[in-house]
Amino acid sequence: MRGYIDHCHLVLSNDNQLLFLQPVMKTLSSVPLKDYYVPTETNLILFYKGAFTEKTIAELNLGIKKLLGGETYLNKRVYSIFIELAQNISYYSAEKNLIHGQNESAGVGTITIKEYPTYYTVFAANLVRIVDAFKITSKCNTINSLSREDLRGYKRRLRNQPSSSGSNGNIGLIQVALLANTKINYEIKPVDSEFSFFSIEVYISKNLSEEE
Amino acid sequence: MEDLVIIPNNTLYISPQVRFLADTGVCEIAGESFMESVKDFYDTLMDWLRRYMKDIDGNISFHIRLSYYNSSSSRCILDMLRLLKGYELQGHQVEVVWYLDTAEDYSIEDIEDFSINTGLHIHIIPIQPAKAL
Repeated sequence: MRGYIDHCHLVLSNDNQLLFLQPVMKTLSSVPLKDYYVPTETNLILFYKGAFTEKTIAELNLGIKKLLGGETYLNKRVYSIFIELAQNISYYSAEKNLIHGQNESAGVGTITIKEYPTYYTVFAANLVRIVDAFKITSKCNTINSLSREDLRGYKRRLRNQPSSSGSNGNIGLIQVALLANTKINYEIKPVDSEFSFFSIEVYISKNLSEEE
Repeated sequence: MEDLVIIPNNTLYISPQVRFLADTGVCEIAGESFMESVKDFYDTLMDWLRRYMKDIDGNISFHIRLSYYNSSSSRCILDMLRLLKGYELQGHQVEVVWYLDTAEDYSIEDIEDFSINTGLHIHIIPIQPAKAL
């Protein structure tokens, strides 16, 4: 599952929304293409499918900030969640693209950000190995079972482990749940004997006082 | 001992600006932090701090103006704060100041969590929210 990518294309739609699209190097026959490739919603802020390189994430982040308009706390929560989920795909997606001209690869996946009258959603999806799907499910369930205070305690415990311990106490999803201040929705769909399709959707309320 | 000055030469703002001054022990880190090579970046900062602690043996005034840091960066920031706490415990004067928009409940909690993990007192200084891009 490897291909070569160049920089992403930037497309401005007629209602002045910014889209970044990239040619799909390889598509899974079992995942309906239109489900996650064709942007159809009018409240779409970002749709991106492709490799999540460091440069791509940074450029998408600048585009998202511009579209959201200003460094408010709400906007910061939206782009912070975007970066964590994008870097999760970059590091952990089971589908990789070689980066042109470099001896490195970046994870492939898709991220969609939508705006509704009272909230935003950030949706992220990528392939995972079936053996890793269990770990992800278990982590998401743990996160969703904890109160905010307990979630902070969980984050402190994982973050406090030495980074050299190799335990990979990844706190990205915990940060996402703390930033969103809601439960995270996730789904794992079997693809074949080796891979599953992992998707996660996070709601970010525009009204802080309405949360929880 | 030389100052440590890092000014990222790109327009993507993925790694922070750094100004650590050997003469005064005033250290400042500002900007955004979500680069891929996060460990290498913070190792450079930690190495400078360790050398300062050994060779200069002076006070440290540490100023954090990070408007965004990702979860990988936050591990490295924790390591750095732990190093500062260790230095304080050896009897040196260490001051840590974190500048942020106080509307950001999440960030305030996260700084509290850094304090709980390290035992370091972190002064929070409120700033005005940044203007629209």
